[in-house]
Amino acid sequence: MTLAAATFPREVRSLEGVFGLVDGFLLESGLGESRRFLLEFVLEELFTNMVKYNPGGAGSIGVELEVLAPDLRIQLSDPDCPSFDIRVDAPAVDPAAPLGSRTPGGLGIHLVKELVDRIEYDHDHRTGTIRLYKKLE
Amino acid sequence: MLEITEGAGGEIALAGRFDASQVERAKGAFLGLQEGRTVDFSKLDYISSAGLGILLAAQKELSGRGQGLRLIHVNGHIRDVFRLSGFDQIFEIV
Repeated sequence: MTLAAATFPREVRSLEGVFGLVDGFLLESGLGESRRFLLEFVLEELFTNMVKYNPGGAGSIGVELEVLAPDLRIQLSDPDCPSFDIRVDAPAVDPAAPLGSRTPGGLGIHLVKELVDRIEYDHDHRTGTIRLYKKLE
Repeated sequence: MLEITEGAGGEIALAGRFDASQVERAKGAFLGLQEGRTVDFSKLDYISSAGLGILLAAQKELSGRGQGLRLIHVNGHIRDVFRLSGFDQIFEIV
């Protein structure tokens, strides 16, 4: 099983390093370019949310990518954060809403939830860990 | 990196990656437009919700004048994101 893992400073410019981790993982795992968009999208949305909504948190944000057949596993961990389970705490987005009432808030999380098959979350001693799974078929 | 170029006819072409790190640059190109534009996505590989937010803001500004953005040559991944967010109903995508 291919595993890639690294920690990144809590800042938006860390995205370049996060995407670099994806580069290496795709190469090592042989998954190919078809999974790049999903990985980069999910990681960007969740990583930037952790930076934006918890800028004063201590420590770096951990990212893990793993081929865990039959799934692809994406994990992010924040070692110093309040609990925020995107499955229940994120604001709802109505994709059918007209232009006049649309706002960008919550859109990224809405899309993440649409793009993956399963999400797990746990929060223990201020460490929040989100695991997302996508079938590899 | 995101490249934004404007053609002689006012068409805006995007190339590269429209992610959270490119938002400030993109605001200059999309906010405050006085008339509708065609936006060529043919060389755009990636867009996140940060990029979608800029396009949404531009579309809202333009809709007040009865105009909008027309998006062309949108790749499959980006088209999926537009569909899942409902943006395919508020942008003209050719």
